[in-house]
Amino acid sequence: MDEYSFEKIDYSIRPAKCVERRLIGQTLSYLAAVFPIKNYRYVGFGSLWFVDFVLFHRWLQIEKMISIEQAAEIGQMPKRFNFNKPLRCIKVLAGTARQCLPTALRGKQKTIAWLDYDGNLESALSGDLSVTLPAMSDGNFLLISTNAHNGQLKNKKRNDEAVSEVEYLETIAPDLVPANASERVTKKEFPGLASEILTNALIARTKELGKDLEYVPIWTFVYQDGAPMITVGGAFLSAASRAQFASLRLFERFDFLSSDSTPVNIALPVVTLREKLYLDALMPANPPPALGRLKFEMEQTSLDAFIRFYNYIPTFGELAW
Amino acid sequence: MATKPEETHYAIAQASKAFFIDMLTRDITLEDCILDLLDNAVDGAKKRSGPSSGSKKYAGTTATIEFANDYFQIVDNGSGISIAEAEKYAFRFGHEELDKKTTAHVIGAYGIGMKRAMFKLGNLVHLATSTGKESFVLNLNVAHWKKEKDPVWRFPLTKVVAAGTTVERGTSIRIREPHPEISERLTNPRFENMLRRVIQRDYGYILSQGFEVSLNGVKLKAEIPEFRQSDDLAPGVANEVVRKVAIRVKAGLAEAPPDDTSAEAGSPKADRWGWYVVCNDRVVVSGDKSGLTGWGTDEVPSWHPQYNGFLGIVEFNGPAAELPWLTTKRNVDPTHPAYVRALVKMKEMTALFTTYTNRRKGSAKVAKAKEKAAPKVPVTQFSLNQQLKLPSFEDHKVTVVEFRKPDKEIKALGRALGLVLPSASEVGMRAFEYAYEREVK
Repeated sequence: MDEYSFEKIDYSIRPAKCVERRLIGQTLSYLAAVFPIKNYRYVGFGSLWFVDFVLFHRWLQIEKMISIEQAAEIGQMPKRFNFNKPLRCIKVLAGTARQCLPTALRGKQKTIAWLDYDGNLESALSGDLSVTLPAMSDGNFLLISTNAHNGQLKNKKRNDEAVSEVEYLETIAPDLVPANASERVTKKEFPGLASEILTNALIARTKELGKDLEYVPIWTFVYQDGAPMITVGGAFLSAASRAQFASLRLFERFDFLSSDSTPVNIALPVVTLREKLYLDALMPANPPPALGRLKFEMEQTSLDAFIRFYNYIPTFGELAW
Repeated sequence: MATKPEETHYAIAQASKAFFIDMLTRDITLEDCILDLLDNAVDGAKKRSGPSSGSKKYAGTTATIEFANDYFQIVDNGSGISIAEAEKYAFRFGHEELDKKTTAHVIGAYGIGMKRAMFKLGNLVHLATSTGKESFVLNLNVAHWKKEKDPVWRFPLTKVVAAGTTVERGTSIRIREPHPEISERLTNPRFENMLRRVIQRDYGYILSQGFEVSLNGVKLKAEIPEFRQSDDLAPGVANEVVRKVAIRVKAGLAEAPPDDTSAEAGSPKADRWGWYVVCNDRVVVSGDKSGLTGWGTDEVPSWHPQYNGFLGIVEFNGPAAELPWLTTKRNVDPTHPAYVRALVKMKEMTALFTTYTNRRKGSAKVAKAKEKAAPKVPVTQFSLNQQLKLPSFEDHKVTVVEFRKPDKEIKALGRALGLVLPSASEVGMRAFEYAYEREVK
């Protein structure tokens, strides 16, 4: 059990996570112009809520979906996960990711896989990657989410001696840690550093597969619904597919994408439903409205964030049954 | 088919361009080629700063390395190549004769490194150099040059200024159109990090004496290994001279040997331990644990993780052509007289250390306390002969404890104790100490 973000909360009401899913869905639906996304298979960790599954089925028409569920393996609630499947096309595989990924990724079908961990960077860099990467082929997409709290670097020991943050990182990610890492192990900077290490790992390990395949970064998100989290993701592309990919001019189209590992912070403004509806009515805003002309007080950063993400910000309400 | 007796037949023995361009480049890795270019920069820096010694003999000299998917570049502010040097030998494949007369303690010795590196890296070479007085440019398209039929192998020099040049002193080499496999490695993020680590280690002595190297915008730091030294322990140092080569062998304890020496015990720093061979300040062999440095020969046992923490350095200083290194500068000739002599001392010191690690098992706790209490001193501070000294203590009987627990629980306990990728043995040991500390002490 991981000490950092095992939040037993309803996964469907994490607003930043929700925005992140929609940003990824939006990107993939745009990519569908070149890649036949609706014939893809989606592999994820659906938990009891399967929120990403529902979204990708609705937005992308994906019909082959596999959810890997470790709790089922423990035998705690084998029926509950199947009971909660919101769609007939979802198949739940019971077992650890390491055990299930080879089955889930078998065959030639193109895949979008999202390893949505709530553990730390060490587990994201672990053995799952070594079964996932060899299964990746031209046109596949992979996303990895992990906790990015710098607490995971502290109080490490080996042979009775303290291990520094950077030493620890170099142990779990040999030759993948950038030169300036020692300045970036702070609470604020670590999400960016972790994104860079994870992206480096994906680039390097894809090259080391010896296929005509490159990992092309597309998404690098930092968000915080509770614990700070990161998601890095991209495509595995051959030279020919890279040319097609470039022709989409994706990075000009969407300002929330990242062609390197520079993180995009999904920091959502805290607005009431009333405020949101008011601001929505001012969108699209070009030029952006002046703060002084709004009907209530707002920080510039909050307004900027609203303008950037308004199309994706969810509304939560209370329902009485 | 009878031949006329008076006719002499010849077998052609002439070199071919392809041999240098496509064959010789197979014997060396990309990183070693880059180090070859850096060696030239160091020699240029040495020439510029003169034969002066002292702790900062390279002060003010720099080399800047930059690369991306489509180019590689190294720029230094050293002595540059003079027109006469270029015309006569700087670009020849190998020196006319291995220059044993020179007394210069340089790194370049064989007249192959720079050319081999250029061929290994890519197709378009742009070299610009200035001595501060004269300057020239050399542009080379390797593929075109390979096809040229001119029986004399030569590269045209352009923009030649024979006196009063305004070009700043130094040499820059820029390679474009890197070969696909080179481009592939240059863009692997692991490559840059590995190269940084290797330069910081292998040029540690040189960097610490004022030579500044930057790699893709990051200034590199000298990495000098350290020995532990106190009243209880000190590294051994022995000096010898064989012909014109000064030999210095140093060995001792750098870190407390591990408690856990089981097979599955990970040791991320393991590549630091073992023997280092240094020729004219350049590390050519690092962390060696093989027969090359005496492990597993005569009275010295083969390497075992229980020796982690052992550090040995053997330094050779002298004319480049007299040193025991090979042309790739990534290995030594074990039959070289100077090396043979050094090896005797190296084995003596290694054996003292390995015996100690067996002896300390009975008193690991006391031993570790003494080892960890000893301050770290950079290896460069030791030059005078001294005996290898290791802690002594009375023996205690020890017993091996063995038990089985579910993997899951072992992992969870390791995590709770903050252990980095621990082996099961380490978790067990720490758990025992945890209980002992609370219930017995």
